[in-house]
Amino acid sequence: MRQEIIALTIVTATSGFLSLNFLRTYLAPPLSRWLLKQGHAKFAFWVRKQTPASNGSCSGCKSC
Amino acid sequence: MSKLITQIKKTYDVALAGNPNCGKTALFNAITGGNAKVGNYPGVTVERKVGRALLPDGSTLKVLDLPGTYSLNSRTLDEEITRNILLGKHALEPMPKALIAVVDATNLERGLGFVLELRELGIPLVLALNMVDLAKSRGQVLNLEILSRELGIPVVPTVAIQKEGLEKLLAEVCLLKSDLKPAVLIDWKKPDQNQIRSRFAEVDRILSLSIVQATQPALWTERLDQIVLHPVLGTCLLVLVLAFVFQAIFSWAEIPKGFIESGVSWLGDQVGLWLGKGPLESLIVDGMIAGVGAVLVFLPQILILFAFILVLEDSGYMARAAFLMDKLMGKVGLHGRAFIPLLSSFACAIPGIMSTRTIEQRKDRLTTILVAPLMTCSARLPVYSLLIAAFIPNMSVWGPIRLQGLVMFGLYFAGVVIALLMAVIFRMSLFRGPKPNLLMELPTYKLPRLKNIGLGLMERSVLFLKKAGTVILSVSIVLWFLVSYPKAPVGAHEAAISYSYAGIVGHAIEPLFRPLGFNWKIVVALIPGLAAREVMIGSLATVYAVEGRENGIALLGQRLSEDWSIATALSLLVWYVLACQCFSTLAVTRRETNSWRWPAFMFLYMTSLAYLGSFTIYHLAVKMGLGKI
Repeated sequence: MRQEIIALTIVTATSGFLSLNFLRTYLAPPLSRWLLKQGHAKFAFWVRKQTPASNGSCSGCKSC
Repeated sequence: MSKLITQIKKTYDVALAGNPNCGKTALFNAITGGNAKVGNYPGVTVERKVGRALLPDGSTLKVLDLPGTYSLNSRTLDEEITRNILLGKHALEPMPKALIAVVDATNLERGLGFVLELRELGIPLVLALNMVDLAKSRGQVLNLEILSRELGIPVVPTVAIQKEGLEKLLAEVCLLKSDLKPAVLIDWKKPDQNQIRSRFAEVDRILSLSIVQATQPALWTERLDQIVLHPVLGTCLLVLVLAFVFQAIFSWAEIPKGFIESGVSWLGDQVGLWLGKGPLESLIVDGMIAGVGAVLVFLPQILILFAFILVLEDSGYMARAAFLMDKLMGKVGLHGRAFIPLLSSFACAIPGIMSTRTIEQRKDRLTTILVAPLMTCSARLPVYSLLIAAFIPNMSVWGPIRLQGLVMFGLYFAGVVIALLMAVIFRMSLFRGPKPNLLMELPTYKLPRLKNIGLGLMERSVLFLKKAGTVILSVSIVLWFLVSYPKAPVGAHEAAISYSYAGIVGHAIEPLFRPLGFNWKIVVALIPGLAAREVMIGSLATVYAVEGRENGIALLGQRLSEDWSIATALSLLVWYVLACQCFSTLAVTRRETNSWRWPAFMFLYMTSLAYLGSFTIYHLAVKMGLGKI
């Protein structure tokens, strides 16, 4: 039972991490563009900043 | 809005500008301590890069590395980035306050033409005369004082890759600092023919005064090019080089692969013994270790592939291969410049798609972007390796040439052929138009630098391990939950995994893929495989590990060969050759085309092609009697 609780906690935390990463990588750029078009510049730049920064080594590849 | 843009603008004090392949990025790396990608072919840098340099007076300087260009009269997207930044017209990048013009000392005439153009901008300028060692070895004697006097700017000889001349260069930049003024927008006008002619006449005048002894042609390069660029001999050599690379990927990786496999297996056993049977032990052994370990074993093969790519790039052979392929590419309607993006796509389609910025015409560029993901990227390598090792006998075909290596070569070759066929179709339907000629500067041959290769391999290893430790690990954990819960009801007749969430979803989608010979486990693994292709291996490993513990975690290949027919394996291989199993590729296509239309089209055409291809191969293989397990 205790093993199951620990295992499910790890699964929940990982699911959260994956979802957040997906949102930051794929949803933040279009969302920020949309916000910019709506005139919410400050919020748009905050959202854009959430996109994981690339170190330039793989030309901004988002796969990792 | 404009106020905000002003706020987020950063001032780059110095920008590096020059012709393509003159060593700007090598100089940028040398003065900033960075490790941006360098290569011995034009068009490596297609985006601006930022770094920081320490000046002799203790102050720091922001340095901007710009894509190479022959003039401010830009024709391609990467050149446009350079021009807009230099003229202060870039939306978010401010204009540099000073410039380091980088010129290849062995190619002064072309380089100085651009320097004169930069001088006209009125931005404080220092000339870094790069690769002077190469020019000297070819007999060049240059009077730098006269050159500096005639140009009216400081000239510093440098050898960027050996970090020679950097102190003097930075000292000159330091002196320039006192002249730095607030950047003023420049009203630049496209020069007419007379202005261009007079600029090159000025270059000739300056060179006639400053050159004491001219550079001799690179004899070795000329001699080697007689073979390498020969239509028949050169093509044979290219095929031989590629065949050798694929043989090496299999044979050289065997020992390190075995070590990693044993290590992963040992770790799984130890964790199992330590934790005892239970859900946590299953999560760690069947989910994490099986999932990540199954992908990790392919690291040696990926590194071998990249080592070859880096050696070929550094030596100058890649640009020759592009030249050699121009005729063939022209026949299918692709621009000669498309070769480098397509070649980059062998590593990953994302930098490949980005490097299409060097292609002038939108139609040519779009054609290249759409076919680039068909080139076999390194993420496909683990899938190919696993299936080939499991289903193709490791027998010798002819001497050292083995069947597994040949099949791997065939899969890469199939990707290329289908990409070229699709290019023909696109050029005849969507993107009709004339094919422009290729104008490309061939670099001289150079000995590949060990440091460069080492850095490249280190970077690739870090990226691969990072991916294994983040995306693949996370997907394996989530997938473990999906294949383990809910548990099978009491008195269930089927395997417990069939009652799990993944089992339910897999069984629901399976009918769609049954004509291709895919079972529900493949379907379940294909879904997370959309995040990154190699994730599919980790997912398969988790599914099979949870389903059958008794076989151990390191024998995924053996489990697959027991569960799948050869027809199914061939069908899955064809699916992986053709399908667009990569979110990141679609995202970068959207960014580069500025529309969702093209990534949607890319996904649809590639998925349809994959379905059709897999269906055909599966049914052909079944007809040939390969459909039995």
